[in-house]
Amino acid sequence: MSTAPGITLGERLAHSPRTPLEHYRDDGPIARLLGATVGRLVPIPPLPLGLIGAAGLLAVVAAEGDAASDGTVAAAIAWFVVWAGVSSGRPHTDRFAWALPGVLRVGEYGGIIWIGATVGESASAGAFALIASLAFRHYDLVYRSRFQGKPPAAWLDVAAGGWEGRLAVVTVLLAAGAPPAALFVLAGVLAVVLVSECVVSWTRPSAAPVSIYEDEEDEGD
Amino acid sequence: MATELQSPPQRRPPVQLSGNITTAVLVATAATDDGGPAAALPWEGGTLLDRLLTQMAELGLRDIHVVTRPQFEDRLRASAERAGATLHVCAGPSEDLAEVADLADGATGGFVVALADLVVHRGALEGILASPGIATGVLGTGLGGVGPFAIRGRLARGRLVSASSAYHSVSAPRMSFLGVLKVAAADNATFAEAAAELRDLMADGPPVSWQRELEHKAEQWRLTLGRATLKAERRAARDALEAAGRDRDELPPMEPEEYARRKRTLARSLPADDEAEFHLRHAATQQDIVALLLVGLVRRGVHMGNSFVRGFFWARPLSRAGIEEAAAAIQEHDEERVRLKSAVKGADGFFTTFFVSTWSRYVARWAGRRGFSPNQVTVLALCVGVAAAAAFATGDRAGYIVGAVLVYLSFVLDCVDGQLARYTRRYSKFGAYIDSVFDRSKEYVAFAGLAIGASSSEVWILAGAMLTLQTLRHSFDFSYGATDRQAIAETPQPPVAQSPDDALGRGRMKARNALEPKLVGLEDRAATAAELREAVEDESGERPAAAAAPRSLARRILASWRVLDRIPGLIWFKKMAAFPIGERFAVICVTAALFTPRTTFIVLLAWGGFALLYTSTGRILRTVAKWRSLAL
Repeated sequence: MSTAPGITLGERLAHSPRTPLEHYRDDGPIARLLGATVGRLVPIPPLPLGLIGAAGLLAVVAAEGDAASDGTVAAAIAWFVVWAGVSSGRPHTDRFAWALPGVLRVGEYGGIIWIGATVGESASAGAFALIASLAFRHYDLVYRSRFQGKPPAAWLDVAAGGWEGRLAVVTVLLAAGAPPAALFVLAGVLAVVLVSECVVSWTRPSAAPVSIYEDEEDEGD
Repeated sequence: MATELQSPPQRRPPVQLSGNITTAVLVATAATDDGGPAAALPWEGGTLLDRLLTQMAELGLRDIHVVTRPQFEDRLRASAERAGATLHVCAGPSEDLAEVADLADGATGGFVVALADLVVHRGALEGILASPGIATGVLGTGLGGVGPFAIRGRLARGRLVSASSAYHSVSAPRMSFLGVLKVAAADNATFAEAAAELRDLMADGPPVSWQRELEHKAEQWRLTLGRATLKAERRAARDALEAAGRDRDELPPMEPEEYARRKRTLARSLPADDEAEFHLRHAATQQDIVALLLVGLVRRGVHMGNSFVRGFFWARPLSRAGIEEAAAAIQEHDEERVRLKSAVKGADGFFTTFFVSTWSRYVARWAGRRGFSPNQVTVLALCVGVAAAAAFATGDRAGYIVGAVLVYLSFVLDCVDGQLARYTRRYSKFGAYIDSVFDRSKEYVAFAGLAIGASSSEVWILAGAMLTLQTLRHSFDFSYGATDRQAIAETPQPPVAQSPDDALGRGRMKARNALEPKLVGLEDRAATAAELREAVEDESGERPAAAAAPRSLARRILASWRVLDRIPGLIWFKKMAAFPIGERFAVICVTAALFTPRTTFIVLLAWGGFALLYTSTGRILRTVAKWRSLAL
């Protein structure tokens, strides 16, 4: 199964991201599993994989709009999750890999807004609430590394589900007829968990070195 | 004392130094024109060294060392003893470096190493020593205004990636080093190693290749001074024509070859004061271990930050005349006003610069004097932002107008907190974090308020789309930056024994060394293409095209894009095109007050979408250009 000797699948799943780009991806267990299995076997750089996934999803959104059936939604989301999930197993070393976390954001947020729109009325507000919670998570990933010297706790990678886990949950909720209320509940639960972990991290004195953040400013003289 | 007439003397509270700095090393090895130590030049009843020793003590540094030469010892001992500093008397740079290596080896606190003959505002020192954004780094300025003798450096993403010394050269310099180096405690081991390596290299005087580099520098300095003299000559001739009632342009232009020849002649026989200055600087640079240590750290791959001196005063007067000049020039700099001005971030956008920072700095000063902390202001800004959203949520015209005003106020407070932190030097990592997170929160809470006010499913979708677009742009910004920084960190540095800073420079050095023996003096050299271009530019005021090297399409587009920066005012359009935070809040204010939430989101999405295309195009071009240059 594994291409590198001596590393088991379990170890690979437990492996926490090392580079900033891997952190910014915000992968959950499903994406890591896809990356660690199929991802090892696909000799394609990660960005094309992510783009194929996102392009397919957005094409269906554009074609079907808010009239899409639950089955169509589930199929399009699954398409995105599989392609972009596989990309997590590819080394993020090619020169355009910086675009990848952004592509994942578009797929996740776009998918949630779409699901809200297919339900209609206050589900769109629920979708906004949910992506607002997610935005906190994604800004937190960047700013905590920058100002605290370390990213948010590793258990949150699993507890927050990752971008693909959340998409899967929201799709299941849609099938179960749970939105709009469920979207608000999910947004609230995520917000409470994410903000609490963040507050706790700031109350604990950090031994991590000061992260060097650079000002891009220049002296015009 | 004269400066105190201008701004009332103010006891500023001690600042929190970053990088765990505890030790100062002041390098008093440069001589002045009368042969004495430049650090003992008089300043406000004391000496330059007294002033710096006081500044270091005020900044909270307790362990202070002064490195000097045997012939200067008598002149400096009293100052050092008064300040409780340890005097190290060394015969030459190698011994200086040995002392530094000993101090750094096993030290628990970090270092500030500075030339002891600087006149510099305390604000500039605080800028580098107290900023949490700089662990190890330098005090710097742009290329202009510091004269031809300056130590230069090159920055990449705010990181110093190459630096010069008397014996090292830097390709494509972008900044000047101002003789203040800070080493965070975490880098002490590398610092000690760098100092020890330099000590060994300098043990029998500088290596031959280093001496060649210095000779080359001296030649360049002379040529620069010669060019300045020639330009002054030409100007004087034109002035004389004008005084005689004739047209300035009647002076016939010099042929480029003639111009270059004349410049070389002048470089050989500089005016007396230029010649004296040249000799002072030439001698001083060979005693400057601060620049050597800087190169040593950079070449060992240490992450070096940079703090620009901005409006604060800085000078290195090596003579009596220089001191008088500096004493007159510092009058032009009211430190308190500079401090307030430099609290405003240099990279702000159009709306922030012209509609907010013009007055928010006075709010910041008021808040600072009343003892408000930056974090209190940040929290207040969030509260006002939430109030704005609540006003939007009412969904009526009055609510939209009140919300618009509150959004503006909230944004002003948002600028105040950063300016207050910079003004009072009360930085904290937590403060920087909540400032960043609350900024975004306020924006998205305002979106929610507008969508509630509109109470339409469509507006919620538009609000979600705008939130997605902003998060996408943010992700691109930071992911691109992270990739870029990683590439910079992984670029190997040449060893400190090598004078030029890169492989290209090595080739240049080889060519120069091969050429050198054949050249007897400056006058025998044919004018280079660069000199001829320079002559055309000086004489006609036009910038002639450089000989075009074959470049990729991506590089050509990027280069012509940068040329646009020379058009005054265009820089603001470029900044606005990237849709920075000030412009986003301005759009919310104006469209919410005058139109409907739906309009607000459509304008935000259109401008933001354009900004996404604009910034991504630039990044894709840069990525392709880098790719190509690596493949070559």
